[in-house]
Amino acid sequence: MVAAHPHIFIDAGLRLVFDEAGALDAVEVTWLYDELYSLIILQDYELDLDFDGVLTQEERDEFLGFDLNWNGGFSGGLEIATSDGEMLALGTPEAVSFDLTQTGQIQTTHRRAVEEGAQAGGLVASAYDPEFYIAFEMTLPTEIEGRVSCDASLLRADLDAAYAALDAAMAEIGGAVSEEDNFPEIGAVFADRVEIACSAL
Amino acid sequence: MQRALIFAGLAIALALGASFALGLDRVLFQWALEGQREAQTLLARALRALRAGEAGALAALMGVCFSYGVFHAAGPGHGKLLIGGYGAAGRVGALKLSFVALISSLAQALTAIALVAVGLWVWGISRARMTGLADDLFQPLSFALIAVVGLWLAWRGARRLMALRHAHAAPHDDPHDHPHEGTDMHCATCGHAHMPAVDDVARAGGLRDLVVLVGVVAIRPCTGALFVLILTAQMGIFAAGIAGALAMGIGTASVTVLVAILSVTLREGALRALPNSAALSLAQPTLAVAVGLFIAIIAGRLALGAI
Repeated sequence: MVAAHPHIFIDAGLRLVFDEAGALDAVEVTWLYDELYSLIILQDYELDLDFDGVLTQEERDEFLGFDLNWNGGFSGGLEIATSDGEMLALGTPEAVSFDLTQTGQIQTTHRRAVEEGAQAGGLVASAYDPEFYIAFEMTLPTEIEGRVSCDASLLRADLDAAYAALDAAMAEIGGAVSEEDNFPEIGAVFADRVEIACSAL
Repeated sequence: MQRALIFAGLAIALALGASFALGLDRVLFQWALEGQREAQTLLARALRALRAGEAGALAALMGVCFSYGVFHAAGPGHGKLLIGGYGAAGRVGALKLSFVALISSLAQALTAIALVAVGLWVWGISRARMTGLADDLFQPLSFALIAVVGLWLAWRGARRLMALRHAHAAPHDDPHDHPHEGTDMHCATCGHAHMPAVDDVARAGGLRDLVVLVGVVAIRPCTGALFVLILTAQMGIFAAGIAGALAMGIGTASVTVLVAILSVTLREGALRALPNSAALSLAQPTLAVAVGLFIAIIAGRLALGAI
């Protein structure tokens, strides 16, 4: 039972920064919030009170990093794995930018260092909120910096496969879901993925 | 007429079964997800237009709120569980239950309006605390109350079953003190006249029941309505927010009314297929016990999950 339904929709985009040795050094994550949540944030923080759709420099500075105080089991919603399935350790987020787009959407970017810079033969990145309060879609472009020979391809969540996996996980615990901490860790299979393949340097 | 009802019930049951078998529920889920995103975007645009004083913005807001209510209700929800379960468990008419579905959705909107008005202007608490209150307090509370209603329905069904058993046991003068499952089935087909009046069973649907249903649904304000109300209050257009919340309630009601009609039609269809009134008077309370326990288990889990 996927009882929770998302209240926040975020279009996510990645910018992968490789170092000179060709290892992944950092990743910049851009979140484009849906128009309603953006409006809620603007009202809550009393931003753009003149409704001209433009933030002042002071407003942009003051609320830089407003969405980086992660808690309650949410740790940024990003996973990057090597092609052999090893998860990369990502550092704490540093705010890069905070702005309002012409469509009235808040867009933020933060940067996370990759602690053990992985040689990128292949990488798989996925963005999701395990509790599904936020619905991430990785529909913003993936950018590559520092290497020229990489291809990024977006694989949208395969809902059929995701439901099959959910059914299997439920069967494993006898269908007994009584509390959230008992719910199978299934969020990942509902997530979009971006596969990055790089040829040798 | 009876035959048509049976066929209608069977057709709906088949359609639901087939849609689950074919994975259409997943399509529905995706559709609801996309729909909510779309509605959320349109809602933001309507609010911005309203704030900017554009012509027709209020009508746009009403329309968007209505469809937001529909999409919000298309997912799993407490109102449908309760109303649908009640319609399946007890002898209540489709019209009456539809009315309850409509009133409870509107009452739910009123709860949201009252909460925001009191929260913002009397307590002066923030949006985050208010939606937190809705999610952390009213949501588990509502599910817990629904679980209690489920148990209550099951208990009422069980009492009817026990009454039936006594009605049978007396004339048979059964010397054994064994459980009566077998006996009941036997007697259900032997045409005894010791049935309780069908009216006893029909007590379901009384005013007290309907008030309980409305109250249990209404106690939990919908998050979407809270967002609209708080936003409009902050933007200085709270009256538009009230109208929007009510439109949202009507949108939600359109789904719960459908569920009310479906559940009553299914039950009536299934029960009228039974051979005689003896079987009927046994089947009705059995159904009530099963549905009541089902509601209690689902809502109980949801309550624990929501804490």
